[in-house]
Amino acid sequence: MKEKLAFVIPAYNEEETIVATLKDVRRQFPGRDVFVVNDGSVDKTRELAIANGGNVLSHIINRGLGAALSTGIQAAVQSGADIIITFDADLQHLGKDVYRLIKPIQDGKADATIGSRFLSKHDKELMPSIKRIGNTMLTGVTNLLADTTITDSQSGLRAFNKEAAQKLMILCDKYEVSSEIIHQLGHHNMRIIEIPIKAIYDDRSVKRGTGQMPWKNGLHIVWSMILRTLGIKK
Amino acid sequence: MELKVLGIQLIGIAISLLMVFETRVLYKRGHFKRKDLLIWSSVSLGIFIVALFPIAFANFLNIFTNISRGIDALVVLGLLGAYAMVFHVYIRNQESQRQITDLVRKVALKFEETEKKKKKSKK
Repeated sequence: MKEKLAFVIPAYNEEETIVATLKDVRRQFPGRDVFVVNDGSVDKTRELAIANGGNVLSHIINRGLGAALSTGIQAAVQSGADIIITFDADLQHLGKDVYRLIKPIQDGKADATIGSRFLSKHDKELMPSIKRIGNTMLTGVTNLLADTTITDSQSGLRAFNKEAAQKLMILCDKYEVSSEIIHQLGHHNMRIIEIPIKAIYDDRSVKRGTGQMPWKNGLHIVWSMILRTLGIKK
Repeated sequence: MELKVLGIQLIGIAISLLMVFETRVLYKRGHFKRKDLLIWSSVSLGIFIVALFPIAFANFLNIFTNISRGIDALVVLGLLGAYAMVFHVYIRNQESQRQITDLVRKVALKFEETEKKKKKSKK
């Protein structure tokens, strides 16, 4: 693989899973740059990530998923990466899925790829129902406002080529970043391809992220997208 | 009816006096600039006058607006003023949040760069 890959892993209080996540990525992609963005964690996420070979960027206070992703992508672009992969720190993703995720970018068929949990019927059914309903609604609104036709707007597993990553101007600090990324890719007429991925759900991953307050977060995401589309919010 | 009006007047006077007190405290502590002191003292004074002479102020407003009752004009203008203030605070808050994130990001990137240099020099 001649391209320079860089992984961006946003992490907030992920001491239980960060080591296993890094091991999985390192096992599948040894020697590649891994940027862990420790987003103001109050546990041992930072120390564990450093001990396990991650390049750790530490936010001194918690700023949210969007801010963490933006910091990581900026660091990856500055390091000269050709392909940048965003990967969740909660063990929801499998490192081996990344090979299929980056293939269309390596072949020059896509500028960005999204790992979709909705393309396989079996995997779709594994998703907790509250997440499935919320995700379907948010994806519908995202597609409407971004003029795209994707199936999983809230997926944390994505890959971008250098050009797409450089064009991303992430301004949302919180969970609405996933929709914002799709919105911007659509706005810049980037070629997006979705790849089916397997997601692993346990009690911890269901309760965290947008699952903490699904309706509140969902409404916030929709509201932000509407403001941005109307040009009220950058 | 008169008692109700008096009650609202008392609330208005109390709010304006509290605002003056708070403004002065914040100015003395250095949290407010002279400009803030002037603006918020003026707003407080305005509320104080309106609360003290609501009928006279409503009649005064009646000269400039098409709203049939002066007191209604007062309510409408009050709501519009409150809306404008909330909007202003929302915009300023968004801007502050963005600046905080930018600062936090710069610190993180700079620190990582320094750490990398340290590691290289050790090698």
